[in-house]
Amino acid sequence: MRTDRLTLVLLILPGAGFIFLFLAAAIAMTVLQSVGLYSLVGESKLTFEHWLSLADRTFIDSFLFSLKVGVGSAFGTLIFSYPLALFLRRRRFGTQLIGSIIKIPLFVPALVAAFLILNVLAFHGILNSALLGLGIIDRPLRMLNDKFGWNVLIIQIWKNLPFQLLILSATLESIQTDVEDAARNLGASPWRVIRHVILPLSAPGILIAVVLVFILTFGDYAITKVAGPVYPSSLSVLMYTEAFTLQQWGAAACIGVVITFASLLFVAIYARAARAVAEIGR
Amino acid sequence: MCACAAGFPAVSGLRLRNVVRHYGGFTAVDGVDLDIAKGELVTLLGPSGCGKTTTLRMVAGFMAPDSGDILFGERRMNDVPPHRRNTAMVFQSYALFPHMTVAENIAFGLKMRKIPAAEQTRRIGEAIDTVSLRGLEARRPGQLSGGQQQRVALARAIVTQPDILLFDEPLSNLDAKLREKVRLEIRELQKRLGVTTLYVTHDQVEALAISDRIVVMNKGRIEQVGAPETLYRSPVTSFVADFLGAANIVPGTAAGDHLVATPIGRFSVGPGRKLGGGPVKISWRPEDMRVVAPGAEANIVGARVRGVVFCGSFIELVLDAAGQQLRAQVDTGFRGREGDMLDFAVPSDRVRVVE
Repeated sequence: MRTDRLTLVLLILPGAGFIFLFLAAAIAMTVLQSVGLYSLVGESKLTFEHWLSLADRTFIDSFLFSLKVGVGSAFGTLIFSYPLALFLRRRRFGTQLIGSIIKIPLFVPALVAAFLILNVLAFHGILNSALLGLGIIDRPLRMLNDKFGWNVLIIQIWKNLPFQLLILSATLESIQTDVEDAARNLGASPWRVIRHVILPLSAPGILIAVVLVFILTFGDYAITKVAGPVYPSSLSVLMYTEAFTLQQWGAAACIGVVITFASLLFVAIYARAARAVAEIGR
Repeated sequence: MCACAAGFPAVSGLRLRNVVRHYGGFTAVDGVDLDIAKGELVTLLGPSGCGKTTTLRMVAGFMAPDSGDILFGERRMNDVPPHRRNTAMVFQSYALFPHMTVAENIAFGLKMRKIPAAEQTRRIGEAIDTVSLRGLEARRPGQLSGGQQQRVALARAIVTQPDILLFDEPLSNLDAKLREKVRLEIRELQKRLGVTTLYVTHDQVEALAISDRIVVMNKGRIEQVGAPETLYRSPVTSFVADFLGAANIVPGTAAGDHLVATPIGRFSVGPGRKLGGGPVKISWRPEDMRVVAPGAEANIVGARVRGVVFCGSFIELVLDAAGQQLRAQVDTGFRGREGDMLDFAVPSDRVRVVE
């Protein structure tokens, strides 16, 4: 019994220990720093001045920008990934090839992805050159660093499409073909099979896909830095600027806390929703 | 069961005309011709891979035949998609919608047909009574036993009043006791509704018990079609003889109009096809053999008892007749032992010549 427990502890220790040391401890440190304790620069004392300093336009704009990119990317990607997953579900000519090609962005780092798309969307990039050459436009369109962040969304969708596709394909795969056949047999047209059977049965997968992409994009640094608007920046970019440009480590810690806990909040919402959906399936 | 569910108004027969279906290089269904009369229950029986399920799925419209025609009544259905066919299928896995309640599952077909709400309610109520599911309407499939799920699948199918009812091994996930009970219920319901039914199974007992006619299939082709008793008593091929119950199959040569010479003796055979010359096979059932005193009658097989198996209502004997293994069923009064040399008589009207 004792050796069993010892073995168990030894098995858990490397993974759990690593996570605890570098994640839980780091998060705790950041939280403490945001209220002035364990300060890296200057003296340590309990204070809410860093939090109060956040209550300005820059922070709020950055927060809203990150929220917009997060929600926009999560649902924007879904618009493309779900129909694609439905299409790829049935093996037919070419689906395997399309399925492989589509996974490429998954293996391209975010920064590289941003640069790749940059070449296409830049002022003198491929798309503008093509549109000019075809005579569709007479002046190049500004598609990069636009205030809204369209290009960030485009790059995020490109980058996250295969990721959602993998999750959704696995979900659709788990739906029995018999169930779909039963619906067709009972008089449901292909569209109504999707609406009444496939869509509700894949809801848990859709939820996972949306929440995970939200968390990935909400805290994005690289893509916003390269292709995002000059103002506002994303929370991560703002955090970097505060820490390394303005030397405001306390404020940076606050932003870090906001990013972490916003993500955790969405995970919690997701967990609740997933449980509700699982109840329905039972 | 309640007697309020009326028969379906617009039932029609089903015809298959030289239907062929390939999977890559494999011919799953190889020229099937079949006429099913209005209200008849016909079973497709055969081992896995014989083409029975493929045939059923073509009738449902899940796949199209490569050649040949499928007709409901006079109407050619080849290019009609499944949701416009008005068939209803009971799946082996039941294929209930896990996210819907029992009532919603049963309502699905009516909803797709845009039946008015009041009529939906009435018909769902009838169907629930028919399969005795009262009180379980609000449950989800995951909260039901296998037998209850099977009933929901059945109710969901009949409530749509299909032209053709399809069963794909509907009982194979039930335990033996329940299988016999549900088998009877399905048959009774089908007769009452008078709905044309195509039923797929690999279980010969189930096929014998439930069918008006049985179609025995092998390697994508029809081996024989007939009433259960005809098929059991008069199989025309050794495959049918062997698949429908146990059979003793012995090779030999024709030695006269109704006489076959085999390594284990000469057998006079029952009426039927006139024999030409050359090699033939004969077949009879284990229960048609009985122990006789030495030197009696014709159609005698001398065999050594290799095994005695007590099976409750009868005793099964494993026999060796000059190297040919045979099986016999004798009554429980049998007092022989392993190693005994005995004579068995086989009545000539029970011996069939098979291909």
